[in-house]
Amino acid sequence: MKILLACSAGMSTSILEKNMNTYITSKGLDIQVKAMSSGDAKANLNEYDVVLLGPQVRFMEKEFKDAANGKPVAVIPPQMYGLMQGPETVELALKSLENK
Amino acid sequence: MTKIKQSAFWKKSQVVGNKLLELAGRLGNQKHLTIIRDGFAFFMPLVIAGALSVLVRAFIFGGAGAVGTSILGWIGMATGDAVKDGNGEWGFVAGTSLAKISEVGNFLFYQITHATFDMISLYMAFGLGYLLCKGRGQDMPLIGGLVSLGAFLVATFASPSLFNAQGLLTAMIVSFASTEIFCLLQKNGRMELKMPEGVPPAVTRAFAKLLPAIIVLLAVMAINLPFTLFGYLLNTPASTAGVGDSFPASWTLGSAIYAGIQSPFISFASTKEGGLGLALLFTTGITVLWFFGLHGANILGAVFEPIFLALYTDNVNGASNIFVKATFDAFTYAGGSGATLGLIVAILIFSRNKPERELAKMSFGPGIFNINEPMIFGTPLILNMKYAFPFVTTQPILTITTYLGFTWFNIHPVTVMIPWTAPFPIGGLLATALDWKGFVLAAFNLALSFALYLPWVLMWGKRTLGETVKKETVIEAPKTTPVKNGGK
Repeated sequence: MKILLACSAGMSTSILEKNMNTYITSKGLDIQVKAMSSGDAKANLNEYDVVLLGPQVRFMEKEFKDAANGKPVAVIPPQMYGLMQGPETVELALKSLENK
Repeated sequence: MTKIKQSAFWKKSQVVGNKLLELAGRLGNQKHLTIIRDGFAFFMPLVIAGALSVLVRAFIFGGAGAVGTSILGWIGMATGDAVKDGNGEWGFVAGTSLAKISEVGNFLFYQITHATFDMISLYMAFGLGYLLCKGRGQDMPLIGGLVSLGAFLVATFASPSLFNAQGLLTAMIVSFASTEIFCLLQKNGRMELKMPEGVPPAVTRAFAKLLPAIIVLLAVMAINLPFTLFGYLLNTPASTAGVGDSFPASWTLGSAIYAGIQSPFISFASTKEGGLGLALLFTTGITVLWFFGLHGANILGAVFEPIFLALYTDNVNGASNIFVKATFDAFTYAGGSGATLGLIVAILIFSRNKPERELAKMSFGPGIFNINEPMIFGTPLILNMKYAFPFVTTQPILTITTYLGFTWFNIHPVTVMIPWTAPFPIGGLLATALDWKGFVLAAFNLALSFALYLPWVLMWGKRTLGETVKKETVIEAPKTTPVKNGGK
């Protein structure tokens, strides 16, 4: 599974990317995570299975949903994001893929 | 129970911020504004390249009157090849090899600046057309970008005087208008030329763009016509020989847009008071939006970025505007939106609250590079009345001290575009082409942000905030179902 993280410049999501990868490696999961700026993310939507947006760009949710062709797009809750919780974010991605 | 509390917090954010959110959402989702935002973001690597060559010219080759603070200049001082002139400014003695090296080096590195800053409207005309075509679901957006570039060139008589930031508004208007027409003309295959059997589909698709492209360029030419006619009738050239290729760029639509809209606005923005007013509007907007958890700079960027970028390129060409794009990054952000590096330091030194300290510890590293989402969402600073006052006001206050610093101490104008992740206060040194006073001002602003947050850290750091953080953040943040609550 491939998870795409998007925030304004792909900077703060890259911290989250690191934390998620630590969790993924420790669990031996087959998941790839990539953090990008919102512009790049929109251009590369097709290559990913689920899109998670940083809460600060939640106003782009509609923009992304329109572009995602039914792929799950979710906003990471602010508390989870602030503490950069890798495992919880991975769960969030899995859950939004399930609920689709 | 705590779970409920967290979603209650989130809901509060939804309710209180609803109006603002709606407005911001509309601004943030408006197609053309989104495209301007993305267009500038994609252009950034080139801007940074151009800015670095400004720095190399100043610091190594002593360009733009910086001989006294350049490596070549220092060598010259040691060898006697650089001397002070009547005004006390250092310069190379003509004819020396240092003078020649400086001249050649300056010229070569200037080409990178010239090819980026002085051509910005060309890049934008292409990029905006490309992105808009893509956004409208066109199959070959590259062609749309090229048509848009062509339309811009027609609208300016391909005159380099409008390729720089002076042509930015023209590029935006012409690019969007021509691309919209271009896309509209292709709807339902109205303009497709019938191709014989056996022609590869790719060729057919390329031909489908043929008529629309021609019509778009003709249309731009037609809009040019009145301006050209007026220009011609009012100032008929002395000789009409070879007239077709000697009309000045001022007889164009592009020039009219510049003279009628952009120029008056930019002259307002480049007055000191006008610049400060816009800058305060910008920084206050950023912190207020962030208070509601929205990426303020991102939302307002599409409107303010073109203005402050145009002012920046003016600075590169010798103007001395205080507030240009990089001024904000170098002097007001101090650890990210809301200037939170001071808050982090204040917490690390004075707060006895453990969760708060842990968060500050984690946020310190990213904070040095002006990334502060962990602070903003973790503390949280969003809708947190306890830190609302310093969070919203600190960055605007730093904007004012920046203004005063530049006004009183004659600091070198910001001519180097630094990446926004450049650490404070080194960014202040780099942005002002290595003026030590720039470093001091940035350091002062950082210290001021510390001082402005400090009373609140002392007031809340002991108990109340700690309890809030414990309940809402540290223990129960995981395992909520955010998908339903998030967004909207």
